[in-house]
Amino acid sequence: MPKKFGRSWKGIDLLEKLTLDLVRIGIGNMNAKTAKEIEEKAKQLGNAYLPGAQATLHRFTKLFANEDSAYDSSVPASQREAVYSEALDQLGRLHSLVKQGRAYLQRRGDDPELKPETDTAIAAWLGHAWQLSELKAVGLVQTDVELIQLAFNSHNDIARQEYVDTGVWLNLNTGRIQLSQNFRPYKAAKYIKSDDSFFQVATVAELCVYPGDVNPRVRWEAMTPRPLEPSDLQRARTHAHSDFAAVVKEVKTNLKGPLSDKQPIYALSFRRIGQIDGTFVVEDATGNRLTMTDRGMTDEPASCHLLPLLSPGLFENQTLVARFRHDLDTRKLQIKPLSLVTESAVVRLTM
Amino acid sequence: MSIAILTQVSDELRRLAIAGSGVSGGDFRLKKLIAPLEKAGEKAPVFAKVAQSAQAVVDSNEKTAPVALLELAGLVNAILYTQGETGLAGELLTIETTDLGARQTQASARLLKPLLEALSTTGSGRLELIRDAFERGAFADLRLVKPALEALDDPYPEIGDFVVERVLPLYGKAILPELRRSFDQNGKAGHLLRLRLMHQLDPQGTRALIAQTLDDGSKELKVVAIECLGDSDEDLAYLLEQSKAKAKDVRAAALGALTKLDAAVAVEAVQKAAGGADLALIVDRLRTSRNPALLKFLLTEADRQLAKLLKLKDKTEQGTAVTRLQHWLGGLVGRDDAGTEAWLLKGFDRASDLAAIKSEPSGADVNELVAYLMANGSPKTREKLIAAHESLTGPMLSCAFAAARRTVSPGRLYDLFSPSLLDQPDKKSKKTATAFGRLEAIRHGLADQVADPSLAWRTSRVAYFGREQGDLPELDPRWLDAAVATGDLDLVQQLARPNHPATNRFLPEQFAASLKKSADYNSQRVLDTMVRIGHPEATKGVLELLKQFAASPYHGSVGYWIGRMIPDLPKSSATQLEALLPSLPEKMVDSLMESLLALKNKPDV
Repeated sequence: MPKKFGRSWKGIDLLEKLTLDLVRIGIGNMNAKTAKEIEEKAKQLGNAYLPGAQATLHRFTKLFANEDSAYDSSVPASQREAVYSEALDQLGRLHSLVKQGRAYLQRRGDDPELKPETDTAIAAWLGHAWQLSELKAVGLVQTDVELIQLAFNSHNDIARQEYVDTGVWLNLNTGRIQLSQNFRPYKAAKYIKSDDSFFQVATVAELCVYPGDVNPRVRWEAMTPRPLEPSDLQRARTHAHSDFAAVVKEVKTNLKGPLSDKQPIYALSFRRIGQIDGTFVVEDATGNRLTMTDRGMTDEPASCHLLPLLSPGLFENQTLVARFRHDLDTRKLQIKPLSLVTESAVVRLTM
Repeated sequence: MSIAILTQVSDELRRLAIAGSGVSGGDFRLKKLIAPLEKAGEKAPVFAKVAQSAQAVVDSNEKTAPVALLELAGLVNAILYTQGETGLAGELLTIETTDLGARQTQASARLLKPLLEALSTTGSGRLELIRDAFERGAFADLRLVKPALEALDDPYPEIGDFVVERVLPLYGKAILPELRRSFDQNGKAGHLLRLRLMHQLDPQGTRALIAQTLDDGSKELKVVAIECLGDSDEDLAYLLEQSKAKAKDVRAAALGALTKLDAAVAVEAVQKAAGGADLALIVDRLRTSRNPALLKFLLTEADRQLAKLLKLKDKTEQGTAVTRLQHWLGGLVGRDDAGTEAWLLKGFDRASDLAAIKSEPSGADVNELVAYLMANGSPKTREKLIAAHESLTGPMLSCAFAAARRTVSPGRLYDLFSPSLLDQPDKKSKKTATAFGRLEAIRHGLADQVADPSLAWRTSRVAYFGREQGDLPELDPRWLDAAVATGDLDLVQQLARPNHPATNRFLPEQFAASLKKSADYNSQRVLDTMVRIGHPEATKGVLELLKQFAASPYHGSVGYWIGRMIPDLPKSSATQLEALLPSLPEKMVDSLMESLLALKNKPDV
């Protein structure tokens, strides 16, 4: 078995031990010592080609950390209560990764010629770094694609010691919302150009699409920009989902997968946006409603508070690009507005 | 689906996960839920699975409990994810909006992010960044409205001042609701700015709040509230009372507000206060008042003060009288009416008498102020100042130059003033002092509209004093020829433009000469100019300077001085710069990388 797989097996074993130890100790008994141990072991997972596990562990410890990513022992227990459900969910993800990871590695061990799986993102979770040529070879490429950017964010992932530039794009050909991600580790940040907001149409001859679920990652080698025109926005709006019930069903089906993206993005065609007792609500043509919040979706800046600054014309018959999130404590499925697509512009509410 | 049972299982699960799996085995509360789960499982098989999984937890021991707990959690959460509640019952009401209007634009993340940080954190350099973003129109983006409002409370007062004077007025009345919501009438600092701004945006709508603040507000806010009065005659009685207050700031506020009222008793109170010790307190408000009675009063008092000054012999008394006259004249800033014009022309005629007053401050200081007022006053005052330029020197000559800059054609400006530049004496002496004084004044006048913002710090106080807002016409191109002919490097750097043969010969010579002495700020400035005008030897100069700096102990900070020039070089220079990197110290390379990347990535022209 290739050396890399050997390391991955050991990594999976380590991950399992770590996860079970955390469950044994109890989430409520997290302290600075445990947090430090987790961070140390998370580094070993990186060496074991398990970036997905490493990222999930960081998300777990981040729940208990302050802004500098240090364990915040000053937070009273009552405040820490707010993160326990999320913490348990993260542990569940790690447990699923152990199970699915073992099965995946076993399959590849039994058949070294077996290509990396392309139906799900498990290969990337277990450290496979997809090359563009590989993605092309397995047919994960779309040709002559046009994309418009709906939102952009650049955030500092202190735990992973890197900056991440994420573009949220609408594929005008397929209507899918796809993500570009530019990772800039601190040590190399000076040598890697950062991405920025993009206000034109990106014409891509070959768009490589990573295995993933609702909003897969995409990459391209070359792109030609052209000005954004009203016809492009019209095209974008036609791809939006007008039946909220159908979208919600799709979202829920996706969310129940333990390794799925828990905060997928969709474009929603709505009849109007209003408020009920101070809560912002979006409604489709048949009266189905979704409530808006920034709670639990903090990678991007808050956006709900901007709604009262918009022109009233934006609250009727437009397209809302929103991130979904199921709150494990309130048991509500809510959305965070990222941008609005009108006939003449993309009005960004985050970055 | 019996979601209620499932949520109970979820709650118990959470409890056990918080406490630790050691307490899971035999857990009584979880055990109680198994039977109802099995019953529900008769209709929905998934509940039977949950029941089995729960049983496994209850039956677990210390070794098997963690896995059992995680299995149950996975199963329960997977189901609960599909049961998320959406929607909200009730009448969907309109959102009350404060539309920012069609001026909204959307800034890029690269511009927005550092600006958001500057508005919300502390540290040096933030004001420059905010100011720069404002000049570029970034604040038209609605995502900056809230951060800009919050910046009213910035610990660095200049930022709050800048935001309230320049940024927030962009949004108009749209921000009134948020200003009112965040206003604290017991507050200080940012709340003073809020009250002033609310009054500025909606004087009538803010009257009730002002009245409330006068009753219940903090001491500082009461002063601001008094300043905001004067929009109605109803305020008269209160203001007259406050104009006699012991506290200086209250008096100043009340007198300032009284300048807005036309009632005779208000004018009288202002005149009485200004005629006494409180002149300095209210001269700023006198300047902005359009009341003809107050203007007449200003001019009469300035006349009286001038006459008094010219009669005094004692230097101390002269100094006091000069200061008082300067205050009166301060009330004439920005005025170009007939009365002010007449006074300035008369005052200018007394220049030599004033020049003879050698107190501190002196008569010459008055002459400077008069010249400044004339340069920014009516066409007649400007013309008189320009016509007298040959007899002027120092700051007065700079003002004449500034007046000419705004009045005569570029060619005429050159013809009038270039002899002072071209005929400069060889060396300084008592005989040549006047000529050199005129030379410096012209040079300062030319520096008033600098091409290179980095040179703006060199602008003299008087040149700044003589500057007016608004665009100035382009200078005659012959000024650059004159600067090169006289070997005036500073002036050449300010006036340099692309494809000027004489400049293209001059700058490399100067660069080489300064480099021979040392690779210091002067050589960088010359190089900066060469880069700015696209000089054919700019890249060569950068490479030479880098090589020279490599041996210096300060090579690590070269990124700040030289790095910022690099993105402005031709894109083709990147290859030569990259070829040099291996020979440079690592720290120096680190400091240059970002600039080099910017050069490589800049769009092709």
